[in-house]
Amino acid sequence: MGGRNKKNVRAVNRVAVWGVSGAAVLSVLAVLYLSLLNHCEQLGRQLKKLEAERAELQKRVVNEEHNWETARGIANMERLMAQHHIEMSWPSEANIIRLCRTDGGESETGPAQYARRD
Amino acid sequence: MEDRGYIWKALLMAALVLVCWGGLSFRLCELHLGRNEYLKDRIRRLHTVEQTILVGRGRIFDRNNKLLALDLPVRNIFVDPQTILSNGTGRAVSGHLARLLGVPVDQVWDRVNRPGRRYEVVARLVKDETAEKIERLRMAGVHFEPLTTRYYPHDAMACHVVGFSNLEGVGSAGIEQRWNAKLKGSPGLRQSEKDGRRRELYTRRSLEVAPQEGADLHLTLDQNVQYFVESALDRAMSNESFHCEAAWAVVEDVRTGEILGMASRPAYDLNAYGKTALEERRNRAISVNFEPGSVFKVGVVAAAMNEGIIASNDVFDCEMGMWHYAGRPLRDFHAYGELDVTGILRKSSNIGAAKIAVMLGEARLYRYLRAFGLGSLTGIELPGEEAGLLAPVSRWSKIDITRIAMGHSVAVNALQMLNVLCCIGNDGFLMKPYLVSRVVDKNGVVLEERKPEARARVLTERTAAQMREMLKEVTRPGGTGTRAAIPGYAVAGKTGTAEKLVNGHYDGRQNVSSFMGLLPADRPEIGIIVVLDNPQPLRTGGVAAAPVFSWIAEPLAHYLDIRPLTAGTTEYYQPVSLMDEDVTMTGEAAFAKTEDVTE
Repeated sequence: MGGRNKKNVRAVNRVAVWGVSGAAVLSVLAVLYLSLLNHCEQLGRQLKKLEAERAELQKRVVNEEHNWETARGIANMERLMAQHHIEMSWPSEANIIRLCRTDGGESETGPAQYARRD
Repeated sequence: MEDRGYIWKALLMAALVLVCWGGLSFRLCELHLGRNEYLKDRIRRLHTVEQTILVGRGRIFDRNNKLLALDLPVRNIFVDPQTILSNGTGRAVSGHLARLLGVPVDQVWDRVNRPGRRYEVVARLVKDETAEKIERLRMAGVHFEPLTTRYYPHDAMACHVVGFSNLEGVGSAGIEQRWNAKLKGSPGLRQSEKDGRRRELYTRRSLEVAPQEGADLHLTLDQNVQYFVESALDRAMSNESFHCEAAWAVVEDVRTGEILGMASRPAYDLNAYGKTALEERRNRAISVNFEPGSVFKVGVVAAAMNEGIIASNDVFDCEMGMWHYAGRPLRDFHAYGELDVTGILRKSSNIGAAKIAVMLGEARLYRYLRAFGLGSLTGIELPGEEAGLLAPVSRWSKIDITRIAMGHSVAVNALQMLNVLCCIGNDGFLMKPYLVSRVVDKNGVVLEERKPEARARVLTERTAAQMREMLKEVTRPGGTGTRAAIPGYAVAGKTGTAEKLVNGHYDGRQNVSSFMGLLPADRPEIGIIVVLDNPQPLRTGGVAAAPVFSWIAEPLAHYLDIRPLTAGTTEYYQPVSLMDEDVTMTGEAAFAKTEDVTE
């Protein structure tokens, strides 16, 4: 009798241990799922915020581009020059100093020569 | 008895509760397990949000990356009169709005003072900066509707080339129309779900089709060149000596066919295109066919020289201003005796040009004119180009050859005529003119790139050089185009004055005057054509169009650093070699090479 009782107790304990362990694992998984879900939603909110921020910045960039383009436009330049009584004319040929254009580090008149070749 | 009654009541209540709960449970089971597709769909529709992700049109730049068109964020400003009037702030709100929008107070008050109304638009397409100033005042009952609109920072500049897109964002003129498919892009799509506050849930996005933004266009146009051209045309339109009904001009890079400037007058403000007449929107540089007059002699003489029929010093009898051909008289503007070929061009003798054309013959003349691209579209990337009128030889009358020689009985657009001259400037190669150099997407990837393209080799290098030498005489003392001369530079050009056809008859008092020229004459870099419609009181190309040419060419020579004759020997000029891989050659070239090149 005593032996059978012991066996029964052990079996009950085993079931309880498995049950508790299973419940614990499920709880952990549930908590993990919830935290991941929360994290994803947080990231989602952040992304939404950044998307809105990007759209706003793009809008500002376009506005600034437009302002810059208008400011440096010829019509605006002329208006400003007239406002400040500035008159501009083309320089005469004698007053122009031309620099040789370089392509790939070499001037059109040939590469610079520092060494004398005998 | 009382006890029993209590039990019965209790049982009844329990039964009722059971029935209710049973019913609810049954309904719950039915909803979850039964046929519930319809309900599921309804719920899904309530939560699902489908957004179209709109994209702006691509930008348009000039060759120096200066913006010519862009999409600008703007806002419509509307008011809620009921809220404003109930707050008693109607006058104050109207005052603030009027001040910041720059409109009369009464105009705003008229909108605000509408009791019972909830939506009244006060201003449309207000720039973001102005809207932000208004927003900062935090006025109750004032609301904003964000949107984007097409904007052109330089208003009327290059209006006929750039064109405009309408309120629906569809290109409706110029480059905007022709390149609409590339500029407009395609909108994206997003399917997602929203929460109780109607906010989109990022984590529930089920579909995201990224929008394809419109590509940017880079034009060959140079804003500064365009400015010189437009200033000169404005000056011509308002000039007392030859104010005209309309004027147009084109500047082309001789070696590549790139269009550096193209303008037409009258012009219109691209940001207010709705307020302009259709006639003002017409790009006359390509959409007006006109009888070119004497500028056409350039093509006729070049063809005859290329065929070896004439030489520059061959002498022709110009019949003292009157020659009869096929029983019909042909007159010169001034009477001349004997003139060599250079003299015929310098003095613009109709009789001399007609005799050259007769020597060349109808078939050969026609073949050359076609090879120059006359009577067919140039292929410029703009809508509304006219091909000109060049009838086949079979439809020519006996005298047509003499009339065509002096630029009548044919019609061209200005760009076609300029191409003929540029062909002479480019050693006989006829280049295909183009306006769009690159199409670039938003990631900087080049989708399309245009390279200089030779359509045909019409003349030999020798003929082209001889023609340039002869055309230099036109702008020298004694020539018809002396007013096109630029101090320090040699200009090769030709004047043209054609009588206008009015009600089927030529009107001697109305002309189309033109001048086209190459700068510098010895190694041409740019070709310019100026056409004035009915200039008055000065009417001829030499006195009306030639000065306009010099108004364009002189600042252009400085700006493009074209070296004057007196400049030093340092050589920076690098002509595009047609043997380069960059230059492609198309169909007609073969014809011209085999049959027309006599060298």
